[in-house]
Amino acid sequence: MKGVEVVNHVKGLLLEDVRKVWPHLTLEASFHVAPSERIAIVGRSGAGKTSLLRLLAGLEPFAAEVDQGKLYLAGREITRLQPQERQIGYLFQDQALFSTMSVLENVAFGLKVRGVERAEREARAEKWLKRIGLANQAKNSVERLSGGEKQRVALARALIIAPRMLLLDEPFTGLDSALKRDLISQLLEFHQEDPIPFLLVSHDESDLSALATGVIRVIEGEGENDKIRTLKRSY
Amino acid sequence: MIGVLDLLSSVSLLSFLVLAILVPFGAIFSFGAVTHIPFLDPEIRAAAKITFYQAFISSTLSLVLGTGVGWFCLGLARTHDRSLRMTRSLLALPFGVPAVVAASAWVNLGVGYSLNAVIISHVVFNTPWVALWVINGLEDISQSQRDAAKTLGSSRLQEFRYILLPELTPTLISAFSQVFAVCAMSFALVMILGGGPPVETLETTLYSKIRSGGLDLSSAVACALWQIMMTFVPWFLLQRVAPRWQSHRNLHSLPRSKKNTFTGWIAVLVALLFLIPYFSLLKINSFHQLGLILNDATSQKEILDGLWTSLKLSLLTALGAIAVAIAGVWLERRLHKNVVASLFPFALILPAGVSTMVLGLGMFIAYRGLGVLDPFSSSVLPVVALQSVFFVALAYRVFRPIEMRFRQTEFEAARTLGASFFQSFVAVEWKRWRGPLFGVFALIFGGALGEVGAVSLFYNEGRIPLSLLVFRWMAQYRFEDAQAISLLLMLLALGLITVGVSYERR
Repeated sequence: MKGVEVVNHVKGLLLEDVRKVWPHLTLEASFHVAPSERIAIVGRSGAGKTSLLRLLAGLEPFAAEVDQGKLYLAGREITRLQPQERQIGYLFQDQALFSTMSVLENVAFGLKVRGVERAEREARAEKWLKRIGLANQAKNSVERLSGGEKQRVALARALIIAPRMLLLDEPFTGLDSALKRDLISQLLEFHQEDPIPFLLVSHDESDLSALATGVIRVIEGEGENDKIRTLKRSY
Repeated sequence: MIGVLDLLSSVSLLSFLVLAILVPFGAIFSFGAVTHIPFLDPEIRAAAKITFYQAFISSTLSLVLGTGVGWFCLGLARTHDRSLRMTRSLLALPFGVPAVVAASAWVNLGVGYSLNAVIISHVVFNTPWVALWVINGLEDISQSQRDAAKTLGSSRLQEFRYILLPELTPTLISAFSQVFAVCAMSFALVMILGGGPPVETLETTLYSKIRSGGLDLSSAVACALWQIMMTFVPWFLLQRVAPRWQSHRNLHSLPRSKKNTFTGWIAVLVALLFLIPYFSLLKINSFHQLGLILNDATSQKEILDGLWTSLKLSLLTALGAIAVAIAGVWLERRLHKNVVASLFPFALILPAGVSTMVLGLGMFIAYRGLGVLDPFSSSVLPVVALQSVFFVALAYRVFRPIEMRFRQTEFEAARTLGASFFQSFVAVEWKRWRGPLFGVFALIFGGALGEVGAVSLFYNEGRIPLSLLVFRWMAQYRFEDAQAISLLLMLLALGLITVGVSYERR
C-alpha cells in the first residue's frame, strides 16, 4: 500500500499496549491474532465489542493526546491510517448495503473506488455473486433481498477487495439456523482459501463455537475503574 | 360501525375538500372552458416568462447554496448536540419571517425595485430552508453505510459522490420543486421589491386584474392557468415520485457530546447569517417610531384594529387547519388499506402547490354573491379557508406519523378497565399529542400572522390585518412607519415560530 512501510515481521493482527479513550469507555488491549485464526470477542452487551471492531477498522480515530499504543496488520503499522487505507473487510451488524445501488454495484463498489475498469469489476463481482449463489439477483435492488441474501452480499462486498483482515459484527443476527449453517460454512471456506484474521462479535456462544478458533474476553473494571475494559485472550 | 367521531371527521373533511379546494379549482377550469381566455396575450406571456425566470434562478441558487450550507453546518456540528440543535432552529427561523417584513427589511437595506432584488430576497429566504432539508436528508443516511464506504476504500469525495448524493437526490428534487413553487407563488416580495412593471409575475398580474381598477376575469383565469401549469403540475408529478423514505435516524448516528465546541459555534454563526438582513429592522429608530405611531390616535387605532384582525384570522386559520388535518389522519387510520384513505395524503398535501391567488380566484368565481361564502362579503370564512388550505399540509405532515402509531391495544386495555373514550385518549395518547399539537398551533398562528396573499385579495376596509397595513403604508411611502410595524410583526411571528418549533419537536 502506498506510503505504508513494513515495520515488523509479525503476520496477522497485533495490538501493542493499546489504550483508547472514549467519554463513556476506555479500552485496553495487547494481543496477537495469527492469519490462520478466527477469534470470537466475548463480553456482555455494551461492553465495547463493537467499539473494538470500529477502532480496528479506523472508524474511531486515534487522538494523539489521549490514546496510546500501536496497531499492526500484516506487518504494517495502521494506528493512524484512515479506514480507506487499511484494507480491512467489515461486515456490519445491519449489513449497511447501499440502498441506491443494485446487488452487483454493491459488490463491485470497493473495486470502483479503487479505479478498476467497469468491465473488469463487473466480471469480478459476478464471479463473487456466483460463488454466493446470487448471480440471478445481480441487477436487483438490495432492498428486495432476504436477510440471509443481504448478509451474503455484504460478505462478498467485504471480501472482493482482498482484505487483510475480516471483522464481523453480529453476522448471524436475524438468520434462522439453516441460514446460519450456510453462512458459517461459507466463512470457513473463504478462510481456508485465503487465511486472514477473522474477528467476530456475536452474543450467541453456539455460533462462536462453530466458527471461532480462539476467544478474546472483555473484562470489565470495577469501582473507580468501571469504565475500563481490558481485552484478554483465552487459550 | 360508524361512530360520532367518524361521522364528524368525514363531514368536516369532505366539506373542506369540496368547498375549499374542488369547487374553486373546478370553477377556474369551467370558466376557462366557456369563455375566451387570452392565454397568449403579450402581457400575460411576459408575466409567465418572468415568473419562470425568477423562480428558476432563485431556486437553483437556493439549492446550490443550501446544499453547501447544510453539508458544511452538519459537518461542523455533527457530534455536538447543542450546536446542531441551535443550528437547526436558526435555519428554521427565517421561514417564519413574514414576507412583508422581509420586503420591508430589504428596502431598509437599500435592496429594492428590481428583478435582482426579488431574486436576492428569495435566495436568502429559501437557502436556510434547503439547508435544513439537506441536514435532515444527510442525517437520514445510515452512518453504517458511510462507514462501509470508508472501509471499502472511498475517499471523502467518493463517499459524497457515490453514497450521499444518490441518497440525497430525492430530497434535493423535492426541495427544488418546493422552492420553485414558493418562488413562483411569491406575492408580497415581488409586489414590493419588484417595484411594479416590468417586474410583474403571474401572481401580481392576477391580483391587479381583480383588484386594481376593472375586473378582468378572463385575463385573471389565463394567469391562473399558466400558474397551475408552472407550479401545480410539477408539484403533483414530484409528489408522485416522492422520496422513498427509509428513516435510519438515530439508529446509527454518531455519538453526540452535549458540550459545544469551536466548530459547533461556527455552524451556529453560519445559520445566523441568514437572519441578519431581517435584524436590520431591530434598530433604535424602529422602536422609537413604533412608540411615536402608537401615540398617534389615528395610527394607534389602525394598528390595534389590524392586530385584532390578524389575531382573529390567525386563530381561526390555525384551528381550521388543525381540525381538518386531525380529521384526515383519524379517517386515514380508521379506513386503513381502503383506497379512499390512500387518497388523503394527496388531497391534503397537494393544495399547498396551488397559489393563494389562484385558489382565491377560484373562490371568487365560484362563490360571489353567495352570502357568507362570498369572498368580498365582510365574512372571514373565505380568507380563513384560503389560508387553511396552505397550512393544513404542515399540520397533516406532523400529525400523520403520530396517529399512525396509535396505541390500539393500550387504548382498548384502558377501555376494558372502565375508562371512557376521552379518558382513554388522555391516558394513552395525549402525552404524545400535546407537544406537536401546541407546536403546530403556534407555527400556523405565526405563519398566518404574516400571510398577505389571501388578505390582499379579499380585504375590505373593515378588515385590514397588520401584514396588509405594512403593505399599504409602504405604498403610501410611510416607510419608517411600515418598518416599525414590520418590527412588531416580526417579533410576534418569530416568537410564535420559536415556541412552535420547540414544542413540535417534543
